[in-house]
Amino acid sequence: MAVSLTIIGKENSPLYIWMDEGRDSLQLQYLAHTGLDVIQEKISVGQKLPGDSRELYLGLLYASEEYKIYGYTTNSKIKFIVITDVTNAALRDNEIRMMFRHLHSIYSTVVCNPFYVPGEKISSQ
Amino acid sequence: MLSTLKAKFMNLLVLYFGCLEYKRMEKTQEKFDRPQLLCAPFERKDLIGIDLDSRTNRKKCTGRLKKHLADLSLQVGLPTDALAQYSQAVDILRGCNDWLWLAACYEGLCSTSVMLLYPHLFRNNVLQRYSSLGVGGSDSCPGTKINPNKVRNNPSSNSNSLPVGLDPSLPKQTSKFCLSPDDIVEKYKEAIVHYSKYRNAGVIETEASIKAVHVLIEQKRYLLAAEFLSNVVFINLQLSDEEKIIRFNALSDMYNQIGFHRKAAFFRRVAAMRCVAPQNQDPDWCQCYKLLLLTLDGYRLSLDPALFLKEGRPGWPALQIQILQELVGTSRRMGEHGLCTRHQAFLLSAMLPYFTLQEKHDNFKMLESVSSKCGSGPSPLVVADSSFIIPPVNFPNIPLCRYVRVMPPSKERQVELRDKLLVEDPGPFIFSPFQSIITTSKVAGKIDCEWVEGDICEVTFAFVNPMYIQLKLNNMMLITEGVEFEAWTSTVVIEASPEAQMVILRGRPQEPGELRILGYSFSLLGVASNCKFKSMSHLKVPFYSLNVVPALPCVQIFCDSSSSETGLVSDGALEGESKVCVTLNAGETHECNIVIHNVSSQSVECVEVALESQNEVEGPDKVFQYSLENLRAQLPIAPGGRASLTLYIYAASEFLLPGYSIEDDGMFSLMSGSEPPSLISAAPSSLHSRQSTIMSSLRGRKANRAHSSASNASSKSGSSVRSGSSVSALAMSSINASTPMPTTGLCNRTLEGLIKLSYTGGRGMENKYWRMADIGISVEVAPSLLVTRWDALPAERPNQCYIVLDLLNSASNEMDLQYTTNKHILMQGGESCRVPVPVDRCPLAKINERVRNIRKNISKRNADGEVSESEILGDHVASLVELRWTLGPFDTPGRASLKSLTFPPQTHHLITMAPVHWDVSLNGQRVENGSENVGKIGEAQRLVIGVSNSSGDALPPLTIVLTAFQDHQNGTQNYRLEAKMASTGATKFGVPKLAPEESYSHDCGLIFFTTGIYKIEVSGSPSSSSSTPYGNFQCSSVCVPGDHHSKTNQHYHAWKLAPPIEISIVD
Repeated sequence: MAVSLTIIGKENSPLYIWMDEGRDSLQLQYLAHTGLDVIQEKISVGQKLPGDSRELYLGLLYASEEYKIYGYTTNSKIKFIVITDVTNAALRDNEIRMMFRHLHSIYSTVVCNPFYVPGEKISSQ
Repeated sequence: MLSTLKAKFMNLLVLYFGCLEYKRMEKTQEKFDRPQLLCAPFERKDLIGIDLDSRTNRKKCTGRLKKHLADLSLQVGLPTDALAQYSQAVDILRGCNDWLWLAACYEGLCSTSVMLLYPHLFRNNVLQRYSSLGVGGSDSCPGTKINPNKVRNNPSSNSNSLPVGLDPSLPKQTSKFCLSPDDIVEKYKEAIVHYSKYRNAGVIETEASIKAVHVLIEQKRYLLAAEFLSNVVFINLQLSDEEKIIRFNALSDMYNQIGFHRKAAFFRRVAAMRCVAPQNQDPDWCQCYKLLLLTLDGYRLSLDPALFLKEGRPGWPALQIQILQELVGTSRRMGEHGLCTRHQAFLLSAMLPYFTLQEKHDNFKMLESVSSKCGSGPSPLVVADSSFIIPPVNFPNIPLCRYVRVMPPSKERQVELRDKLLVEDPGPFIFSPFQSIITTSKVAGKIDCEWVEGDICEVTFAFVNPMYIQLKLNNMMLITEGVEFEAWTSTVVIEASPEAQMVILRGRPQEPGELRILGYSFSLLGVASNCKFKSMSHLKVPFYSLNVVPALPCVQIFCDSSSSETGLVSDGALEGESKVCVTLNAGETHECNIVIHNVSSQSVECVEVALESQNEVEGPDKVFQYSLENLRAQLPIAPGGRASLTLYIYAASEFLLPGYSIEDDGMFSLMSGSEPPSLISAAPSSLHSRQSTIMSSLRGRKANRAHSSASNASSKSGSSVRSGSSVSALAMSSINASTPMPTTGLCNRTLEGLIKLSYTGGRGMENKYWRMADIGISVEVAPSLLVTRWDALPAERPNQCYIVLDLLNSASNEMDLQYTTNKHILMQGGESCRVPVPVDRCPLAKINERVRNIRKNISKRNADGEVSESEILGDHVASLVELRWTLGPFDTPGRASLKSLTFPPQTHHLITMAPVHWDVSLNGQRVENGSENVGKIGEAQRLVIGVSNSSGDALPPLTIVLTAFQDHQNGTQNYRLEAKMASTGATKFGVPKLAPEESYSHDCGLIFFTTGIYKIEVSGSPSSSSSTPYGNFQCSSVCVPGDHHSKTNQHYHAWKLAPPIEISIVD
């Protein structure tokens, strides 16, 4: 189970933040926020190869002593960041990848909502 | 001084170099068979109990010696030698598991390779004197602090600056030991792994990592660099608090260099927090504050609220709020209350959208408490001992301005430019496709209204309170630019309600010109806030600009109520536009006094008055009359002075209501009585006797009419109205049929008039600016007198006729009607009566003249000739008949004219003067109307018949016949007088063609044989030889088209002397 999940918009502002209850929300946000640095770097590397369909899953961005930070970016530069416990061995790379795919499809449905203006905050029910 | 220092320094370096060179030479020649074991300080205690003479140990010694030699070679500038020696050392040390020194060798190998591969690396930073903030006190790695603006893509321009003077490409070819760029990273990695095996090697490990990062930055492999850096974080070092802060700062710098600004900000913040950590004995709030300020960029936070809000700078609100709260807290601990207030204000303003209601309240309370110590002015604050400038904070969103309305002056204060020269030139094109572009490119925010210098002007704002707390805005005023403007401050309270609340800010322009309204300022909780429109993107306008015109006078216009006694209401105080309401009876005249009060400080020097009326057919000047000259004579109106304008209001109304009782049978008899061919004995007495029957029939029908007005209309159209009058009557009836209540004259109607006073004075007059003042006048007209029908009857006197009017008093009060100069009649309310008005007949000359005029204008439309004829007659009658009355309990006077009266053609001859004028005398005595002539039997009565042409045209030849008859006074008339009378001279004679004003006289004698009363009719008709019927004045004109006569042809016209000559024959 992931600890935190964040959807970040094109302009690097969070659109949606979910935190596991009982965690230090601010610390996790700091982690996700700094993870953006890595994502940005990875995207900018990817941009050097135009026409090359990039892998959307960016893999492990970095790891702290307690958490692992995984990143994923859509072609429209919407970023997903998932934070897991370092000790969580159940989540392999493949599971994380599936999680992101699922997240991406959920995000697509959100965007398909005609009442949703892209860039607005997303709220979960 | 500097030169000697330099020389001494050079000397020192030379000595130092000599020393090293000597050491190197010594080591090179040293025997390798019994080398001394070199070891790091912390290794010494590990040496205890180790066999120093073992083969491994000997190898270790050799390897370490080799490494030392390599170091020396490198230091004296022999990198190729050093490379070879390092490689040898690596080979030796790898065999004996001496990880620490192996790592050191790798590091040396890497360093040397880097020197050769990237000779320019750090060159430009080496000479920086302050640059030695090395991590962990490592002095061997200068330049860890790199100027942030040279972060990425460090310009690699200065190549070939290796001090040893080596060609960089040379070692690559010569030394096979030189590492490739990828290998360097690999070796560094290996070295770091080996270092990490030693607890005491933390500092060296950190150093190696940082070197590796620098190499990676040079190679632009930032992700890998980030990995190395994150590894540095995990290295556990025993450091003092200060050193830790330096370490985190350095880390932050490194992250900045690889472009990881967020990470850099994170570590900067960690460093800041370290400064004031609870376990820190000596917290340094000031340094913490400065470090926190440095982190702002990483969180995409700008303290300039305008910039921050305008760009909608993206960021991570939760983190931004955190950092701002830390700034507030830190500055408060520093005792900088001004900064504290400013940060708290910024926090509230910038982060408002992300706050929950509770957080809003908390932050508001917080601001309240911090600002109580020190407010925040409108000027930027400089942080002590640094270059940080904290810009002022505004509250453009607390309260949020929804919209701005620049109010034009109130209606009576609006100005108008009257300068024909300034009319815009639309260009030579009727239509240009560029017009729309030109109009849309109009300056945004240009307000199309004018303020007047010295007048109080207003701007309305709609504010929304986002706080749900009552906001008290002190010293709220407009911010303007351009001409001088006296902005008035006001204290505004924005209630804690979600609805928009209107706030009006006022001021007074002091000089003419262009005024720009840039925004508004206020102070909330001691925080001065200047809110400019340009920083409010939702307003879409950077500023509002408008024109201020020179000072103009201003007047109040109202109706002097003292002059009015009947229902005159002036309610100008409420609406700004004054209005006067009067209720008058139709035909009544009212006089009212309009007062012009100059309430400004300028005098009124020029006045114009215009009258406007919306619903008038009659035209306003018939209803309203005033004297402009009288008003002009009162100019100029000094400030505070008054002038008055007298207005005469006449309650104009349509008094004629034709067809109102068209089916009146009595009227038919009346009309048939006026049928031309028969001889009419004009007897007023008989008319009066008839009138009573008509009155009764009128009254009776009034009841019928109440039943249905529709039947009224149908019976009208079906009734056999005479063709002449049916023109107007039918038209009227058709109107009646379409409108169920044809009571234009019966119900109240309202006449609306607007008196527009435009005036100017003072400096505004020079610039052709005018002001307007309106006073509306509403006259409610109550019905009074109505003329329901009319007809013409012959009068006793030949030059007069009777206009018989059916009058209806439709008012409820009693009316005393005066219809001629000396006759009046009393009419009850709702009563109708018939009055004869004697009217002078219309001379033919007048008609002909008018007709000619009309003919000239409308030459082809023949049908109009007759209509215009009846109009002319109507005008003639209207000019002579004026009905005056007094009405009601106050004896209100009224008058009505019978304008637009028309007469059917059959009655025209009654109204027009006959073209033939009779001049009859008997026995030398003129026969007047009603004069008694007495004659004796057997005596000849000498009768002279004079005929004169009183028309404007020549008369054709006439045949005049004298017919005598005996009137038995009992209704029978005996025309057979052969035995009773004889005549001398012709009783039938011709008159030659008579020119205007010409006359002809005929002489004859009559002898009566018996007594009695005889009468002699004199009638003349055009001679049978003349084919032209001469019944009408049109006949006299030669050029009349033929069909015009067809109507009149049907009538046989004759002129008769009325009344007949009466002769009483006595014995």
